[in-house]
Amino acid sequence: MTRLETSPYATVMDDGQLTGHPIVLAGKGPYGGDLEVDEPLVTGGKTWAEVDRDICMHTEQFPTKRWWMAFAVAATALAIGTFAMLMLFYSGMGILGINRPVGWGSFIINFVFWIGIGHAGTLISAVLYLFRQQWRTGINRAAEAMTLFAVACAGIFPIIHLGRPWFAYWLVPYPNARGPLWVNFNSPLAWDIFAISTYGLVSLAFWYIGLLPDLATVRDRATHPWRKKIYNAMSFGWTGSHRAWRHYESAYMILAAFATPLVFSVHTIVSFDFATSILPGWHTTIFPPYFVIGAIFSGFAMVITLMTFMRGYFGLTNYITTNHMEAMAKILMLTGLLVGFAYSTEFFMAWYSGSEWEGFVFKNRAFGPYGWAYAIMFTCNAIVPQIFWWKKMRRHAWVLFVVSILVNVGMWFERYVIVVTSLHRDFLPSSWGMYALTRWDYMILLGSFGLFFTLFLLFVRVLPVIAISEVKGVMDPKVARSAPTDAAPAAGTRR
Amino acid sequence: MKRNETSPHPEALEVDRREFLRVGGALAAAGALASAGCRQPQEATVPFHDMSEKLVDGQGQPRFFASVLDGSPVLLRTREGRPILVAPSPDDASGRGTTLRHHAALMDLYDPDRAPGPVWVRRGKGAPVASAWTVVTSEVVPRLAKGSAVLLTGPVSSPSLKAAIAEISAKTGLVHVAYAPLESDAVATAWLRAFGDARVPRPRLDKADLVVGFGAEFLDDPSDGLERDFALRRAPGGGAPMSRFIQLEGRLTLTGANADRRIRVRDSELASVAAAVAHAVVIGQRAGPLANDAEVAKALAPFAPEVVAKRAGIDPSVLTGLAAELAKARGRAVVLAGGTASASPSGETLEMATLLLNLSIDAFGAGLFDEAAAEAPRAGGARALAALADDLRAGKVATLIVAGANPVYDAPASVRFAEALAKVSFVVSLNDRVDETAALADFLAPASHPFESWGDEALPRGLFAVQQPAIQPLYDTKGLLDLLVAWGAAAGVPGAVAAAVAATAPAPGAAPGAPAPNPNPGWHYLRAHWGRTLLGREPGTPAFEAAWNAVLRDGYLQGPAPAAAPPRRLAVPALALLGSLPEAPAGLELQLYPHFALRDGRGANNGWLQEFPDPVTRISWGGAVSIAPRRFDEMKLANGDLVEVKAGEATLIAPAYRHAGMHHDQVAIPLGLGRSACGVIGNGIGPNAFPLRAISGGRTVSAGIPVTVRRVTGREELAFAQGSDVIDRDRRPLVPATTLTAFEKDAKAGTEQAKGGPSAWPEHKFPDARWAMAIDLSKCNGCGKCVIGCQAENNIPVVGRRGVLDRREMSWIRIDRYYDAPKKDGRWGAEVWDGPLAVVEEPQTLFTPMLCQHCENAPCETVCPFVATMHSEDGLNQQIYNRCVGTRYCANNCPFKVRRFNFWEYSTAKTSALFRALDRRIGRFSDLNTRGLMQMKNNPEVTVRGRGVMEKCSFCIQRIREARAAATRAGRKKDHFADGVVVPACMEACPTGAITFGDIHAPGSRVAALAAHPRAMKLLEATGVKPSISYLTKVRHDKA
Repeated sequence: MTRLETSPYATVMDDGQLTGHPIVLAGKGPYGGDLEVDEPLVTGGKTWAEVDRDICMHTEQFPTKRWWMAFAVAATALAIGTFAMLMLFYSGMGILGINRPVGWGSFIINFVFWIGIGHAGTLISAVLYLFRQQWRTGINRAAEAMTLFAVACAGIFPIIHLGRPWFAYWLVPYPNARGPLWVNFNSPLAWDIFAISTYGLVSLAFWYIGLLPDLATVRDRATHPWRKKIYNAMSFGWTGSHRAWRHYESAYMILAAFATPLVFSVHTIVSFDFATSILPGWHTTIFPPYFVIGAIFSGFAMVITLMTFMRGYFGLTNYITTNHMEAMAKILMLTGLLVGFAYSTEFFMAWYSGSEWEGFVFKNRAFGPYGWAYAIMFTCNAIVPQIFWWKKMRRHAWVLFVVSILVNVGMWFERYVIVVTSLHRDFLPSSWGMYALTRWDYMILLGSFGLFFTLFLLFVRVLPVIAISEVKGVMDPKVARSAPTDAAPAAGTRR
Repeated sequence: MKRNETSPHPEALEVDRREFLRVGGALAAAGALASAGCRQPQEATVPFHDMSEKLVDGQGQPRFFASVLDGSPVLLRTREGRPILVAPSPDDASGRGTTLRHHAALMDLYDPDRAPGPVWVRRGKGAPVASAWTVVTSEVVPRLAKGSAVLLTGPVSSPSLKAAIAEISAKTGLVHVAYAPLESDAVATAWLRAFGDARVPRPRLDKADLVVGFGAEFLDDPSDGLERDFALRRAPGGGAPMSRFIQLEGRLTLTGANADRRIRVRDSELASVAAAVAHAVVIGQRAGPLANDAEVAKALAPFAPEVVAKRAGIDPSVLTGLAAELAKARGRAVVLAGGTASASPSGETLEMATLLLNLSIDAFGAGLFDEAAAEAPRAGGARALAALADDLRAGKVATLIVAGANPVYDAPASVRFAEALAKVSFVVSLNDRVDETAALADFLAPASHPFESWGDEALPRGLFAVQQPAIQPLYDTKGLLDLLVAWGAAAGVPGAVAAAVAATAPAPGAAPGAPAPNPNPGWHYLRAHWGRTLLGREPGTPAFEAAWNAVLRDGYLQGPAPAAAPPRRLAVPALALLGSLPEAPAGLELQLYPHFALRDGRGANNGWLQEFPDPVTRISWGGAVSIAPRRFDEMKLANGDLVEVKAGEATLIAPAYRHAGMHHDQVAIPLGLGRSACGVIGNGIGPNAFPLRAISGGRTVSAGIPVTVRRVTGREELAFAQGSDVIDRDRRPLVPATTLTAFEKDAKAGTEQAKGGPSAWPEHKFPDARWAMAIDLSKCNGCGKCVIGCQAENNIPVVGRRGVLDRREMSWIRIDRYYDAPKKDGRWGAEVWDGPLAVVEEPQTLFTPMLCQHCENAPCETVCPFVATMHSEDGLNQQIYNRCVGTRYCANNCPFKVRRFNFWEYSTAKTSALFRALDRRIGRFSDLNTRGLMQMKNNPEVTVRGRGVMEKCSFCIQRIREARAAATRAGRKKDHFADGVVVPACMEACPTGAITFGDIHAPGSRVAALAAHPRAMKLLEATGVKPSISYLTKVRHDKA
């Protein structure tokens, strides 16, 4: 079925009027039948100029009190985490909760959690781009920024979880004067370095290239000469010429194609950290797809959380409409189902393998001393998203928000369950033990959220939070042009 | 820089303000980072000054000293003048063997809480003040000369010390009292009354086919060396047939855990049960020399098995069956008692009944007792102490000298020793620190550690050993013998005067005024005594010196053989002991048993011993009230819940512990804990149960005490060094074990396990030697000497109570203790792991020494991104500390969980008050590991690991490399190593020969033979890791 680029019959709709169903135009079909057209992606009958203003506005005015409050909370959390980290460097790993059977604890849990969060951005911008999912334009910028910040948070943990973090650079294979000391390419931890750094760099490049036209728009709107100069430099002197657009579009497409496999490879490799071990509960071939799906799941949940905020606080409901939210809710429900399927498969395989060790680990996981964590995980990830079978729930802002939070709680606990329950009771019963986070673990976890939200709050102040040029591309030109405009189209308007 | 060239002052610091701020800021940031922890660990170095010139040649080489410590011959290994390891003497003819305390004695030597010199303690009426030896001597000697002085010591077995005390006594009237807190006098009393001789011969467990223990504890207290003999007969398929060991006891002891059959009888019933077995042998079976003895029959008449069994709550057939077994094994069996159960009010009866049993099965006649190794008790129990306390109270004693005893801490409460002490006008303690007793003395005149001073020891079988020091006194202390001889000389004791004169005389031919060659009067006294009594020559003569040097080299001298004992004949009046059986308590009874590692608590300031987990309870750093599992469940307790134990007037609140195999009507608490003045490490660890003991009939009673237990609010976490207790070997065949019946059918029985698939890895090549180990679980009794031996050899830090609670023990080898779950028909539930009553009421105990298995396909090696752990071509899984960055992935991937991570910097004191306040654990490790001279115990061949680094058993690679270097020097580069060339510390410390290590490729290698033995099993074959350690099945002798 061919979808029309824009609907010739689009009407001006408000967000509240959206139904999530196609608009049926009776008798307007090419052969006289009914014509179903999508509801507009941008509501409120916005013109291009209004788009510029609505989005750039937030970088052009002083922060609101609400922003300052949020920033203060985030920065405090970051400071607490930084302090705990300094304490960690001073005293050693002893202040944490890890012990002999459970050698990996909250740091690895947090690492996998944040890497997972970092999956949605690239998925939205690259995979959905290649699949021509135009609704992505409303959310891709913020989602990509979220990806970068999540990867930044995640990247801290493998370093601080080392016993001697000051030697972390030994993990980078380069000719050196230490012997030369080379890394062990058999170790999945060495693969992580490549996977994560590649993902981080490609995501950064992809995000920044996408930003160029919008930075030019901000520059064009700027009145202060310094602001103009800075944004001009940041936009690499973007002119908006056809040539520039042509190159830009090809580069964007190539990078999208390049980033797409990374979405799947990163978490696959992260899952190898567990899957290549011999530990029952880790040593499973289902881990790569299971981890990737889980990552997309948690990433979309985080996007929903952030978009709910952005819609509310920045008045972007016309750009991130209820239809956008519903689309994400559908993905959440689908990935939730897949994650639940993975959980069940694990149990089936544990029984089917006939291995005592596997069987015990999974029984112990669900019914052992950490059964509560498993219950949280299963409820939040596999059961709660099923509420989205009801359309009303998918379109309900508060339900979406609460579910997205619960999903991320569940996904944190999924990693907790994987890391802790497999380690705490493995082969030798004599070495069984328990694990609990200490206050330092909690402080550093809090600090990672502090870092994430600090970076995100700074991002919404200085960069356009919605891809202006791309949004303009999915607007109905008739509507967008119809309103009287006193200004010439900005350089960053895609035609 | 260009500006500088044109500047009139090119050398002046010429920066502008901005530049200065920029550089300064960067420096400050770098400094802040550095102080935040990014720095190399700083290490305190131990100075190597005042070195003997002769030592320079031997620098980097260990020097060995044969010596004797606390009744056992030991070999001291020193490096650069520092003792660094205590090993059992390799040619110990006395058969004594060592105990945990011997292996841990280094910690006592370097204990920073020892008094650095004489102290004026002021009887606790003010802060102690440092004093001087001249002051102490001037205070003590006139009082000693005046008379009415008492010397209170611990057990004394040194002939020269005894001679010195006797000489002083003869001159001044000094009274000597020897007191051992754990001595109950029951054994000595029974033997004295039965045979007119208190000397107890040593049972020959290597000759016994059947051993029956009535509360015997020869593995819990191996100081008489029985564990080695016992182990000789515990593995099947050797020369002699396997022995069967049946133990009757209340609390599951290490001895009972090693029994083939264990029958639960509480302490107060053991005497009558033993008598009932004797009844069944003598009257029921009409067996043995006593069968027709009317007196014996009359004395045993009240102990009909049916009556006794009913009272003790067991099946009478158990007793008659036991008697039948004993009667059948007549002349090949031996019956033992003598454990804590003998310290019950019925202890003398128990010993008497045991003697009767041994007589009735002809154990004496058949040579199952080694009369040449007969020993009299080395000290008395509370009887002597109570008499002394009465004398003190009566004012009969003017001066009390305490040496090696601590009655204020360990005397029964009814002796009221502290109060009696106050009546003495002058008290001086010769202990090594201001302990509980010394705190109430006038002076502390600290005695040197045995490794710092001369002495001697009389050993069984007519052996005499010299206690040879290996280091100068670390502090301003004097050897016990030196001190007594010096004081005796000042008091005019002739032998002591001669020694003191000799100590100041210059060497013959030396210039006048030259220093004396050996200024220790004790040394001269010792040599004179040996010359007089053993060597038959005067010191100084060439013949004496030659003989003396031979003794120093060998460590011992074979003295005149002890007179052959007459045949053991029972004195009939002794049978009266059977008649005087006290009533067993109606309800619950208490046993106060010596702490496994600390014994009477003397060495409680020893981190190695405190951290050593009890082999049965697995509790370290403290102790608990052991309660029978069913009672424990009925009381709805959890491990660590506080309970109040009330025995007579005394009460004690301590955490409860669910003790598998405990008799339902018995509870038990370890002694030796709860010290208040032993030092920073041991103070306040665990409960002090000594006041709960009573005196009954002049004897110290520590078992069979009527008691009530009730739950009180509160918890105290117990520091367990083990996770789960129970193993279901059907599901997890991690301990090869079987019964003798099954073994005789199939020698491979008990080693069944799932096989692994093919390996994707290329095979390792081992062109040369390949190291491997075999551990015979039939010989291993779980004593744990390997643990301490390893800890000393490999500089393994002590992590403290908090560290164990956090599950961060560092010991490279641990003894896993499991209770074997009975076989089921394929049914299994998670509840097995929680210790169901069916498993833990009558537990079958299994011990497995667990250390790095040096797997051929080591899972730790593939996952380390830094290549910090790798395989050597002689089969070692090596850990490279310098490379390790601490991902801990290797530890996660280790199926045996033997890798140890340095969570803290154990070797450095963290001094920042701010950070210590933020997390109290930070400052603790220096107290435990690096205070004072503690680092002197470190083995220079082994790196002290820094924080953030993984470590694990290295198979004592330093010893392997030493042997390899020697082979290379000898030009044998591609050589194999004969057995015994490389002996790791655990194998060296193992008293039973359970551990065998060697080059599996060497011709005739023992370890190769053991690895190929049908009893051998390598763990977790299904994972394909291919361990280098083979475990040989634990065979349980189940054939009656």
